[in-house]
Amino acid sequence: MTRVKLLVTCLIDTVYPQVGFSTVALLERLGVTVDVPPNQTCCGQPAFNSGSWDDARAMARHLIDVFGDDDVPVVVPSGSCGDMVIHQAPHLLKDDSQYGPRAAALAARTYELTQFIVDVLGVTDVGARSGDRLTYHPACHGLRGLGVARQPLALLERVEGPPRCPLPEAETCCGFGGLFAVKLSEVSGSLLDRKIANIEASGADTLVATDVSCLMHIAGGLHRKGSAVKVKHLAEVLAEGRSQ
Amino acid sequence: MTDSRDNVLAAVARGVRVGSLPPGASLEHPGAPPPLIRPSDREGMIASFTRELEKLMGTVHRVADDAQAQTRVLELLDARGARRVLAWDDEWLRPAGLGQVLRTAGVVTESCWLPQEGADRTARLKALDDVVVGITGAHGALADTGSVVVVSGPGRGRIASLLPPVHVAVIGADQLSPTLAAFLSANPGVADVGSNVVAITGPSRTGDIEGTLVLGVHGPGDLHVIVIG
Amino acid sequence: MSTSPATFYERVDKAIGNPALQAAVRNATSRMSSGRDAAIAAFPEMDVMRDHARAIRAHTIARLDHYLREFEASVQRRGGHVHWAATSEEAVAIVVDIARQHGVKTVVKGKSMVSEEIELNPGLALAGVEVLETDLGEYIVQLDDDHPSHIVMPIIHKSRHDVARLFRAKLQATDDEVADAPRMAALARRVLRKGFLQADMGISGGNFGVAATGSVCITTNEGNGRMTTSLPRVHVALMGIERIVPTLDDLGVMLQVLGRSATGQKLTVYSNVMSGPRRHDRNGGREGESDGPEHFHVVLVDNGRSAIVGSELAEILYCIRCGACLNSCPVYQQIGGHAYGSIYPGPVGAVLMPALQGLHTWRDLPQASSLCGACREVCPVRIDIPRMLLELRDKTTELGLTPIWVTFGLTVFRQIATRPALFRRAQALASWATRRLATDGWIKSLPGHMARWSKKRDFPAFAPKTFQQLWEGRKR
Repeated sequence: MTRVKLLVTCLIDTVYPQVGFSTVALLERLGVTVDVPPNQTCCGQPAFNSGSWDDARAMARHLIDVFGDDDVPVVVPSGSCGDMVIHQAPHLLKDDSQYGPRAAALAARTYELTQFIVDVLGVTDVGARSGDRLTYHPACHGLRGLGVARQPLALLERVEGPPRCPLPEAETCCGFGGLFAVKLSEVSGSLLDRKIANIEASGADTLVATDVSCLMHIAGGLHRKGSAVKVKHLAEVLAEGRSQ
Repeated sequence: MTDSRDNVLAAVARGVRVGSLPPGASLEHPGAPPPLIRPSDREGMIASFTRELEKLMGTVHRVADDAQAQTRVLELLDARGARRVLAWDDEWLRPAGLGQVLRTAGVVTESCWLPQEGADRTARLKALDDVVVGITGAHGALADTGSVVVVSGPGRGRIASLLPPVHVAVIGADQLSPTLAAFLSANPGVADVGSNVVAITGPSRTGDIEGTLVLGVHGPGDLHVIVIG
Repeated sequence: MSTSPATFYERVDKAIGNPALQAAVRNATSRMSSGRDAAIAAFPEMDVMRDHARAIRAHTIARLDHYLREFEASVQRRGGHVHWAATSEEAVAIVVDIARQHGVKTVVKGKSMVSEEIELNPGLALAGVEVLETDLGEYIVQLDDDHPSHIVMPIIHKSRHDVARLFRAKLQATDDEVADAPRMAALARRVLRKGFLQADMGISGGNFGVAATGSVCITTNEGNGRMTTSLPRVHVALMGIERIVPTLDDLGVMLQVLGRSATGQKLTVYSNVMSGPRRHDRNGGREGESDGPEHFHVVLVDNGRSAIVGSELAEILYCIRCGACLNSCPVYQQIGGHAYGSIYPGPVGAVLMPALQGLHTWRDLPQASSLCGACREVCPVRIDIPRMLLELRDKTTELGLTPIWVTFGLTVFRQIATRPALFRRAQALASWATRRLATDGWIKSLPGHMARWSKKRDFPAFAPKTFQQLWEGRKR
């Protein structure tokens, strides 16, 4: 029996708990036992991206303590938090004789959710069905930071239901970028406008992505504009089983 | 500024020695370029050269022999009413004897020789400014990119392929290399041959104004390569 | 440009408020990006070629002092002169000196970003030397007393109507002469041709210097670069000290990735390799080369580069100035080059400007990125620009230049996030507060600095209970 630890991420924990439960349901349906180590907070990415690296280091160390030093794979339903744990935390802590090696070991057993399902479990058909017309936005950190490109597409392709709607300029950033959306709000907003125009042009009724931060940003823009398009994390789509 | 030389070099040397090796760097030279597999047979190279240069709106004329090449040059001149050409010296033109053929046909062949001194130089350049056609050979040609490689030298002025709005280069099919890398590897001393080596890949062009393609903005906008053989 | 707003954020707002500029920049960048993508799709070896190009650049920077000495000796062996400039002032002084030494009154100039960096043209003007920019875009920039907004395509911020207006005003052009782009280019060609034929000196940039052969390579599409370096009796090439490649074979590799990445061309029209001055025979007679410059000078410009060698930003010195990162950057696409306020805009500029001139002047540029990684993806030498933007943001905080609301906010967040019990209480408080502010689950207007978020988008109310709380409940 495969066992994993779920890194739920602070945003899913606080704002979108249903995405966490969809992730658990999906993994359990695939025969995976999911542990959720208690006392999870934040991986430190907001501080890292904003240049407060000392703060980011403290949060990364906390995360390492929470996930321990066993060899149980860690699964994270977010490309950007995944990138933080897999690439950035080892870089941040490289001069820390105690936490540096632990950060590297944690990075080596951490997987973004779709990476884990497709590459580790070897599954692309998870038995999902969706009545929605889906379009997919490949969020930047997963796509270019982790190189997770084909996995989400392979999973989406096997979801039963109406054909997918191709998203124009899919790989262009939605403008989120953490505090970037506040610091350069107008530029970010301009990118968001373009992303939303492309989403509406796709003809989809639901936008899917693998990062709730981007989804929060895009959903905020869609709601402001009064758009009928919904957003869903890919785990939510995949968790909708065919028998249900 | 001798001090600056030493200071700059010392600062660079300090960075090189004190810092860690930059990302992806090796102290060993990375070696020969990765091989490009491209057609290297005569017909394959001519086909590729022609396709590539014509995509760029250059014109390739393939002729069977020297006589046809001479005829084609004269036709190109006639079509443009060109009675003067700026040409390489006779010994460097292909086919051999082309210079004489042109003069016999009543075409004035201007030499590329430029005086060293400023006023004479300007006067000579001004005198050449209304010449419509430049005629050169080439040191080689690149099938993969549709380029002709022109090397300056005695009797092989840079300006013949530069000043006039029309450039006619006559090359032999045996001068084609599959790629730039192959050309460089076959001609390792090319920089010793002349002070200027230029790979000319299509007519002069610009897209500076709203991306609209304009040919012939400074260099020749009309490029013809006659391939013999 | 003298009227340009003072701060980066003001310039950004001005650009965002100019839809015509945004449309022009977006059209140009998307055209160049598609050209690049098509050229790369048609070149199956691009990935290995990029790896090799990166290895060449990395190796050269790792042994830059060695290759600079070799380059200098090789240029001298060909009869050329090498000058070293530690600063921009020195570089200008060197060029002015060369001009004086050769009695130069008029100069034709090819495109060179280093010349912009050192502010060469005002320096030459001050010395009484007349300079004519000859790249079509740069000529238009010069006529309009403007600055380039892109390192490859200088006037993507101008429409053809802007150019037509300019030519009418400055060149007294007729309606027919400015009717379309080809006719405007033809007019510029006529004006510039006169300059070429009588100039005493040509100034070019240098895309690459080849250490083994002492060659300077410039790539141009118009041919102005060849004119500049062939017709006048003096040629001066300006290069940053990092622009060296070891051998001609290496140059061949760089040229193949440069053209494709910059404009989608397999090779730029004129890949022009110059090795020393015109070669005369012993008597200066007709046995020597027919033409070419009598004097060949290379000015190697440091101006902050040597301090980058060996630093965590050394990778930016691999850059070959193709502009692909500008074209692919969603931020550049929205604001164009002028908003950066720097010689080098876009992602490369956001690293290079603070690296060359310090964060005190350029602290805002590393913030001008959503860290989407598009620049890294297209870079022909695979420079990890986002990594260096992050390094620079860290440095910004270390120098005390990050706004206090950011650093203080994150320090408070860290205090909370490293104490799980406190974190849970903070989550509960945030949930309560956001739900109080929200209507139907959405907040229309946030307080404080977060108000800038809610200008363009709503913000969600947090869940009543966190995942971890609900998970605990499920286990029981």
